[in-house]
Amino acid sequence: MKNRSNRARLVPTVVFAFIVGLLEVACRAGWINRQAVIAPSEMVLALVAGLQNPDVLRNLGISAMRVVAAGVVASVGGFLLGCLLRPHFGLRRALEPFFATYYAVPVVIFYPLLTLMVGYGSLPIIAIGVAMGLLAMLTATLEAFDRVPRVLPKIAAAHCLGWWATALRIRLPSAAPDLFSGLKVTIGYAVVGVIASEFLLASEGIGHLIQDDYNGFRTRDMYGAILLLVLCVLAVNRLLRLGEDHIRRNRAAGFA
Amino acid sequence: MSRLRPFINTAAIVGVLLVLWIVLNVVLGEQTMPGPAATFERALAIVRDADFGKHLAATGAAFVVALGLSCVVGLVLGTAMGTSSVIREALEPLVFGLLAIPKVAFYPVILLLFGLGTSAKVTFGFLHGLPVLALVVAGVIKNIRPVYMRVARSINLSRSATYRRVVLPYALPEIVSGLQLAFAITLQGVIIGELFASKEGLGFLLMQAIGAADARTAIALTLLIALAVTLANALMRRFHARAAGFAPSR
Repeated sequence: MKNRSNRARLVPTVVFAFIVGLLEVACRAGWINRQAVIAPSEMVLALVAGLQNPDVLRNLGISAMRVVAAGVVASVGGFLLGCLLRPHFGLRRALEPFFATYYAVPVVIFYPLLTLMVGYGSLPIIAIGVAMGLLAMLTATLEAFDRVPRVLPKIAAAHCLGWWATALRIRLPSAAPDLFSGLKVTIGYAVVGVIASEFLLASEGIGHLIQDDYNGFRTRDMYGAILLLVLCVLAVNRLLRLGEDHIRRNRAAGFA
Repeated sequence: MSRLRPFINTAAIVGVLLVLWIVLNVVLGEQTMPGPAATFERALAIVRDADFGKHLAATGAAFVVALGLSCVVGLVLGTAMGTSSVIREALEPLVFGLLAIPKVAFYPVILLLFGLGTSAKVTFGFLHGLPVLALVVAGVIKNIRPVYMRVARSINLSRSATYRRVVLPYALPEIVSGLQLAFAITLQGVIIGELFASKEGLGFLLMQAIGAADARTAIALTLLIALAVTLANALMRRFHARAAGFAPSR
């Protein structure tokens, strides 16, 4: 069992190292246009330089603050809306086509409109992040509570638990793993909304910094900033996955 | 009456959205938030414009190629990850990583590699659609009920016949669901690609409208895209219902 778990960790690391190595060789040998793509080792050096640059850290901090704000509002709002919508099956059915359409509409185009409504700054960017993430949490909430085994509320009723006690002690813990999955997707969408808005019109943030480096032909700095952003997103995603695994294990242990 | 209920509910939602739209129009003014009538009028004018066909064809072509590539590569990759534990262990974290990272951050890299044009848009759409389809296909094949595979082996079905007659019918409803999701996400990828890296297409028209602070055109174009996606989605839901009826019980 342990060998299998070690292999599961080792194999992707080897594959990733092989891809990075191949890219390094391709860039050094000139198989790839070096004006377009720099070698991974140079990207890492640019990342290290970026981490020592207060301007890069300030922009990263601004983006992080926007993502956190958008993630919190989208998660709480999506959860509450999902709870309100859950018992109304007819309404849910009618809303399904709208939900399916939602993610094909590039919500970021409303950013200029929002700037006209609330002015420039972080608020319209956070609003786009919220708009991108809200639906993911809403649908995850609906699915999470739908998946609660029907027997659990019946047991709660048999034990004369009230509505609140059933919701807090039975339904919520049972739905927690799926809710956490929804939270992960919501934060992912909030990141996309914030970064895309920063690319479009913002004057601060890591998205704006990448755009600015690209426009100024500072390819090295641009790759450093992209790598920093990707690593931050992957680290947050990894943390959320660990949290999700922990909750799933706890629930499985609770049922065992 | 019960048959009409879904239509009544949908009509009620459209009604509520229209009322909200009108309220926003009254509060914010015609310049910032044009009303429904003016927007529909603009949408009709856009559709009738001689250049619209060219832009629609550009977006449509890039989308079809991106979705086609996502389907082919996603099916192959997903099948390989679903059937082989070694391939799954090797590639699943990378595909999850691709799903998690904001692809929009790579638009300067894609622009540097492919320049302004169809290739950049297709790559953008492909990067959005591929991980979704690959993970859906891998998930459903990995979780196929072992009894089906045992039956296939016991009646000596060849590998290709097993895929054709057992795996595909079993996986079809999930694959169609994944396709529905990939459809929307790939289209979003292509349009975001056009916002940043194109000289034609609906996304380019949107960017032009945003640049000119022409809210009416921007919202009319968004409405047209939303209508097209809703229509396509309704068609896919019908196909999904058929595929679910075609699949064996689980």
